[in-house]
Amino acid sequence: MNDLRHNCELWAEPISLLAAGCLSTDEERDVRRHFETCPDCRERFGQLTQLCGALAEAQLPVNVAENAIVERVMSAVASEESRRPLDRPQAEMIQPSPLTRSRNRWRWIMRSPVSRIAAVAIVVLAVGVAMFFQGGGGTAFAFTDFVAPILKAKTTKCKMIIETKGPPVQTLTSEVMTLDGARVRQVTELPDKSKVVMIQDWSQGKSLTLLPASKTATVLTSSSNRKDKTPENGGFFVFFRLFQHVAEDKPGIEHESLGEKEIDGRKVVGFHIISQPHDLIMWGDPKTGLPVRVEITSGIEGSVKATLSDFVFNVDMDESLFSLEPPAGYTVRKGKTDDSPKEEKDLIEMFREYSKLSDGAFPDSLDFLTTSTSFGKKAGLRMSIQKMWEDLAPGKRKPNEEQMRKLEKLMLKLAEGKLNKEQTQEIAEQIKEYIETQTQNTAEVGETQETEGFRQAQFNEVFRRVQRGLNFANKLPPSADAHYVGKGVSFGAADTPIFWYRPKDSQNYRVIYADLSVRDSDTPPNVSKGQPVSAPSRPKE
Amino acid sequence: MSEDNERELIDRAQAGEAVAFERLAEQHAARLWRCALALGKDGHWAEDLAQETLVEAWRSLARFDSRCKFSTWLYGILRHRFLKGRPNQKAARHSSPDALGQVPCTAHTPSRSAEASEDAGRIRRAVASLPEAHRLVVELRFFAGATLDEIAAALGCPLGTVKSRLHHALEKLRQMNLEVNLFTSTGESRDSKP
Repeated sequence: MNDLRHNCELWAEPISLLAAGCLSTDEERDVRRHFETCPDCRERFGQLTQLCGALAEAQLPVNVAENAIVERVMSAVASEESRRPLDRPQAEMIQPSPLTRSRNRWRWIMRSPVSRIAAVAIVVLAVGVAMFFQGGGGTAFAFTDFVAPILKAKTTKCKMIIETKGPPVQTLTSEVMTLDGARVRQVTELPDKSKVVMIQDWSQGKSLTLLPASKTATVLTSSSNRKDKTPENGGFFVFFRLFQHVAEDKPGIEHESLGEKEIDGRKVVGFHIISQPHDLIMWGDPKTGLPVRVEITSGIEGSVKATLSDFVFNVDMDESLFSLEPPAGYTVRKGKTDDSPKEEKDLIEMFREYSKLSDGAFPDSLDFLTTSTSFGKKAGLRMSIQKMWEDLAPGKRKPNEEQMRKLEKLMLKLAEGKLNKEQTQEIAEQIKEYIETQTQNTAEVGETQETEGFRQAQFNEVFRRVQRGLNFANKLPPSADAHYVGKGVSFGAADTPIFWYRPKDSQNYRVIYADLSVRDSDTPPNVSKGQPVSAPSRPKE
Repeated sequence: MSEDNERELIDRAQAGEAVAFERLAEQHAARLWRCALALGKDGHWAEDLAQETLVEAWRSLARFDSRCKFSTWLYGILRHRFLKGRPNQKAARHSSPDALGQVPCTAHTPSRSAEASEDAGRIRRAVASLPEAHRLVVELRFFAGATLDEIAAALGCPLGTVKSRLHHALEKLRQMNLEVNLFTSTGESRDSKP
């Protein structure tokens, strides 16, 4: 573009592009230099500038479309991410923005309405089922051969699947590693696809629980002076106890052979060990003498099932995987395991907490595992609803009891997992619409201060109280003549007994009524359908 | 967003950080939608195309090597998705009313909305009357806010062609405006009105 003042045709395109805002600074300088000597081009440029301004103003507003597009894109991205393998390390490091967190939570809730916090508790609880296994054994047979490698191996690696019956149904998968029979590392995938890492060393009576998604670490130390510091719900390590019981071959266990079958193309032989209400099925390879699959079913009507498979023994493991030191950058909480004696007041607290979450109803039974799991799910569901409520109606007051129950019903429909995609979306929309309708005309009450850590601490405390209460009832000796009659009874009636027992060295009964008052009585209440609270549904002393 | 910020977001998104990609999507969704609207039939279809483009971008992010601008790369994906998903688009396009002409413009304030809407409607109809190749570059430049490189990527043609088409399209519109005043209220004269 040198001296072209007399050839305006060559300037035509640059002038159009300048008017359209498409020239660089240098190019613009050349064109403007031409304008100094060419009034025709200057006039044309003026017309084009006016035209281009009008064109730019004719642009359409896009706010709605833009938001909808981003929403759908991120939904698709999250959906694809959830299908990716879990070993993607950076996935653990993502710190979502509030907006993304909201969307992710929405999808997560639709996948499983039990909160991450509750799910972690249930993992710990569910693997504790073996504590209730009543030891003993009859005949020496090949079953013990399959147990021996687990007990004797320097290292063990296996996959564990925990299934709990509804509502809501929940399945959690863990990878478990053990070292020297005393140290365990268990990595579990939670319903929201995040992970929880539990490392335990019960020779030290210490455990470390890591939540990489929120970068929180919990260190628990046993306050017990006992040599065996395994706590009552001590994670995977309690399976060792179960296997030890079996290996010791004590009298009292019912067992039967299940014959042969094929698992993953391998011929295996199976054994069924029965000690109601807990069942253990072990399949082993007769050629190698190694276990192939172990299934442990516990709780009322088999409410919790743990399946161990993919065993690998004596492989090299890096000891650092079992380190009890929290990683750098984690927020660390420290605590002691709850080894203090359980008391009657703990049971009353359990009744109070359970009925609060169940529209006043008391639990169907005092079976430790079934009732703890059921409570954990109910509490988790409520936590999920509260979070969802805060996402959709930030700063508004919390849901009241009626609103909570309405949402619980809708969430449970999602949780059953029987709906197709459209039905699921419809229910999700109903939930969203309900919250928006319920909060649109309500006043702002300010931002909540309830962080996930706060909620976790709250949940842990309530869950601990419930477990203590159940432990108290289940640990009463047969001489206490303890009975539970709270099934179908709701909180309130001062003359309706729900539980009674005779304290040690006492001739009188302590009777707990439906209003949670306690009175002494010479005789047990005259209730015909009392449910004895006795072995085998109580923990081993 | 500065180039450095965008570069950082791209790096983080390439490392798998969905939140970073969300920021990028927020940055580009509107322009992609407008671009799709220029190429396609209606707003909903344009939303789908913009969405497909961004999802495809997420999947292919590892292949983005910064040899062109991120937005130009996105426009290339949009064109690819457009051609892949709409083999008979041209026929469909011709059989349907102009998308941009159909959507009511609500960008102006109420005080001047009626006049401005009239102008906008006339201008969009004038643009719609241009030959397809010219109409596209004008819509992409002015309605979608695309740069010349982005337009070239979206249309799959050389940069020089885009410049030439844009020039000829603007020249035609200028001539139209000289014959029939397209925008009575544009520019200083309109701004000076109450």
